Amino acid sequence: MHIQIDEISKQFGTTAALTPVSLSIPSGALVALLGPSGSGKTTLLRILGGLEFPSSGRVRFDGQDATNLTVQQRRAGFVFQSYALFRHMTVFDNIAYGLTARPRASRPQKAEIARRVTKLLELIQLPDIGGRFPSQLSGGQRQRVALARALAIEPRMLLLDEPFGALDAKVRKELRQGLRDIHDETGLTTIFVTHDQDEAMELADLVVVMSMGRIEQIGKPADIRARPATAFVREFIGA
Amino acid sequence: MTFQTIDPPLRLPALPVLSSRAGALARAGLKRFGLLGGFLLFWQVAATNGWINPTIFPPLDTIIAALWNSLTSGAYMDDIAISLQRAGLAYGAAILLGIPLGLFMGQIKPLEQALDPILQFFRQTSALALYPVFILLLGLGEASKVFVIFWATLFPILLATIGGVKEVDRKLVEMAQTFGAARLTIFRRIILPASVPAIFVGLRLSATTALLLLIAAEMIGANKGLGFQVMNAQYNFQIPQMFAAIILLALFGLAANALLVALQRRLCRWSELAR
Repeated sequence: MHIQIDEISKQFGTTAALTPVSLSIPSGALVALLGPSGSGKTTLLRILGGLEFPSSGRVRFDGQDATNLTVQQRRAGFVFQSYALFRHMTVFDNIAYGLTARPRASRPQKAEIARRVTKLLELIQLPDIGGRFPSQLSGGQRQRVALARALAIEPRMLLLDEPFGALDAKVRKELRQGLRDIHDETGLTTIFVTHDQDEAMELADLVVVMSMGRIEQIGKPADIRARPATAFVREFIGA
Repeated sequence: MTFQTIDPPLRLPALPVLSSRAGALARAGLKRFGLLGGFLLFWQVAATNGWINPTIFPPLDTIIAALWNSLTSGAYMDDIAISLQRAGLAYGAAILLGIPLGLFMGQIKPLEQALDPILQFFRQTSALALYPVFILLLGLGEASKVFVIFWATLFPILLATIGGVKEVDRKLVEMAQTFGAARLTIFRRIILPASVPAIFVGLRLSATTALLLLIAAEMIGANKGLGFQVMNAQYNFQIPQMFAAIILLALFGLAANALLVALQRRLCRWSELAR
């Protein structure tokens, strides 16, 4: 799905989290929103997902105005920084949640839900953990379960907020590749927020560098490295 | 004997395994109950040898005998029944009111904020101090006794439930919202199960309080019940009977707690595993 952001701004009280920003994300791209904390990257992600609404500007999905769509109408798959797995549910029930929480009329059959969950467990390469509880998993496993849960609803886009933030360096590297593989396999437009420039440069097709609620530069990782547009970008990526 | 000689290879390796397992069990039992056993043994020996005044601390075997007699003769049956009825009614009412109200209040912040100072004030006010007020209002009969226990057990349950709901990670609720879950679905499948461990903390606290208040209320104005029997036995200097009633009360407390722990294990396997 192609995503178009036109002059989006966001005010929280008197502070501006986003000064008008515009961005075009091609369908199937893997995009990093890169910046320090307070740069507005998470706010932008939440606006795309429908968890926040912009103070001005429009969001378009495949050319259609999506600014006022509710979070469920947007059909986005979310992965939060802390994963927000449901501790009292098994891994199976966690992944199935997006389907079982639907009203009865639009809920898939039990067998269909089981089939999808099994397939997703295979996709994240943890086929045998369906019966476990989140507390019995490692950090990396939890992250992959959160990813599977986001994918279960067959989303139109994947939105990840610091998906590798809570992991140690070694697991982080492994899971980067895991996300890349899943992205390539599903072809979903994927947007992730990070403050780690290595992560953004290594993983993303397109990097959006942000600071103080503004977009500093949009470009391919190599271009940003070779030609930082502003002093901030040069300093932030350590070029 | 012949069996043993016919088939020695089966018995020989089994014996050390069995004895080491029994040994481990005995060691664990000694660790846990050794001190208690030592204390009881000391009581028994000290009382029978007159090291302590046996009229105030009778030997354990006389207390056990008194307990056995009162149970088998049915002398305490009426008292046990009425005590359990009072505590049960009050505790049940506190659960029926406290949990739903707590679930409701925990989710509505302005309501919770407005009521919290009142709840904190009531919680800190000893229910026993209010017992005279309840007697004035409800008379010296069953109603005031049940009400004072209800009052004392309500607040731990209510506050624990509110706390449990409030502590449910907002991110979980937000995550459920991204899946388009309805408010009721989120409540039923996310908020309620996640608050159960906290609710059980309140339930266990209140179960102890219920027995405590039961005894106090029965000592003040009753002619039946275990609390009355403790007091009555002391007035009549039937010290073994007094201790028998006290032991009975302690056993009820242990049983109530064990029941709640078992129920909690069943309901929240996930939080047991987290430990």
